[in-house]
Amino acid sequence: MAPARMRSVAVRSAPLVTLTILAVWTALDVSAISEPRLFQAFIAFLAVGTIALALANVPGWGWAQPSGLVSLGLSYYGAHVIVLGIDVIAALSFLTLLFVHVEVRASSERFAPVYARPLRPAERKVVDAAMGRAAVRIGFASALGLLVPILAANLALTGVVPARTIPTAVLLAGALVVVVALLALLPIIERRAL
Amino acid sequence: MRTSLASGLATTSLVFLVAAMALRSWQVVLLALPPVIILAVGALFPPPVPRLVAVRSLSRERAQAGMPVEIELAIHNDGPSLDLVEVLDVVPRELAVIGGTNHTIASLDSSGDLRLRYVVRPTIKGDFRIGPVRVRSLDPLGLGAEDASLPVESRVVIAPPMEDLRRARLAPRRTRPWFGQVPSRQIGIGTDFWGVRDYLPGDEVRRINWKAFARLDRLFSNEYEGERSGDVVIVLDARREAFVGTETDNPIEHGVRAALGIAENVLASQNRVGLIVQRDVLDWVPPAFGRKQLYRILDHLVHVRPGGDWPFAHIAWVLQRFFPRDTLVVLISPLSDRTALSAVMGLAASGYDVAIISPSPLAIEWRLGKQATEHDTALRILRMERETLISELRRVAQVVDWDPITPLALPLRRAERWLPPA
Repeated sequence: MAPARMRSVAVRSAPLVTLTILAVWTALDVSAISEPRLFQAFIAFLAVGTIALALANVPGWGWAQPSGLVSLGLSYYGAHVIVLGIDVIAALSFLTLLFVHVEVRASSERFAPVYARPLRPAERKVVDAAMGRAAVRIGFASALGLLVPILAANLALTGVVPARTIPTAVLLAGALVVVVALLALLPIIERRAL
Repeated sequence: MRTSLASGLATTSLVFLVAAMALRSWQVVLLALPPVIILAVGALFPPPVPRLVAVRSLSRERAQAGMPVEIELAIHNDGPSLDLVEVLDVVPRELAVIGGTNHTIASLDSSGDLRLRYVVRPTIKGDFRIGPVRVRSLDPLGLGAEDASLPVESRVVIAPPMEDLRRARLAPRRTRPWFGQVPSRQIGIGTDFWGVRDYLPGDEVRRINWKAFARLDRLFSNEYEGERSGDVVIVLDARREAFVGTETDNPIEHGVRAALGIAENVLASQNRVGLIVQRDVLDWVPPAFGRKQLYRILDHLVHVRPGGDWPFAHIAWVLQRFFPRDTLVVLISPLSDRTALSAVMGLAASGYDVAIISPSPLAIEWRLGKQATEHDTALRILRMERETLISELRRVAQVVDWDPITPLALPLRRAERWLPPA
């Protein structure tokens, strides 16, 4: 039973780890601002965001999560857009980590109560497999979310893709329409196929 | 069903796009991409609607409170494969899961099977329904979910624990013309010697008193005290105001335990037993003999829940109309109001023998409280009030003041010392 209990603790504490990384990262970047007023404003945003996200882990305080995420994002991206300038890779990594935090928290809420119960080895194996599958899916989506924009930027900057021509603009617009249509229609198509 | 996370991602992407246009920054445009990509990955694998079949089996459908019941839930996937499926077998909170789990998350292939084995321990008596099985097919990215409820219900009846009253003597004082085990103070069929009379033709040979014949040279026959049976009606006060304490430790639960023990004891000594329960409805079982009657009484006691605001006097009305006057009325009540006094006096005046078993609400409350010094004074006052009521009741009835932490047999044995002889 002890490993299951430890696993439950680990699953519960995973969102706190990602939150700590995000908060420290933002704090380090914000501390580079030399102007006191802006520094104070962004530090206040950061504090509000971190407190709200920490509170969101307490049962009954889940509603604090969206405002916490918005405050944390505002303090990081606000500081970079207004004062520090945007480093594309760092900004994308931060955004991906923010999504990973949300996904990890959702998974933690699902799996932690299951691990908290006394599971037989066979049952634990089934739950482990399901958690592994979820982790792989989250990792895959996060990796794509990070790598695809970097690749796109790289291709645009190196001139492989002619970024300022009418055909490129039309193609991009067409791709956007296809993605939106897919997003809207896929669940319906899937249901009809059943 | 889309979750708020999907809307959040779409909003984030839109905010970055608008910001990029406002700032004319290609870097900010790139930030709009990750949320869209995550949405696209989620949309490629939407959670299908779960189509599952569940079968539940129980190790026993009738058990006693505190006795573990093993439950096995077998689930078969008749639909498409499910990436992540959360299964919860809904169990009433009175059944504590002590082993295994009734809640899991798994990946389930098409035509795949999943088994949940768990053990529940019922904390109190009752008629419980297990189920339905709630199923949620989840998207691993948390962008969507599909819910289903499998209407698989099982019933488990939990009987209250029984007080061991084998050594207690509980018998009606007045008998009825049926053979039983209660001395009737009349000549009849029995085992206790009553007297000797002249032999009459037709007397059984084994009844001849040979010693008297040897001494007086005349035939005499022994006579015995007839053993008959009587009627007992158990009246259980389960009104809302009788409830003090917790779900497992309250006068009504202890009263149920006592009622079952008394019914078993009285039926075993070949008397008729009836039951009246004063709860939401006035529930009664007419007097009868035998093992079947015990099960009838048990079935009614299983469903006892605190409720109803009947006046105490209503019981007297029901008894006087539906039960004969030579019945022993065993009233099980915490005596939380003084109206009990007038009702019991009314019953005694009508000719009923009344015995009262009173699970002490003060003892229950005292154990649950902080037991501070100032509470001690309050307890003494309340105890004095209760003792006054009990001593008034003792003028017309036999009263047993019972602290439910002790077995009922103990106060009953003590009470026998002052009980008038049958």
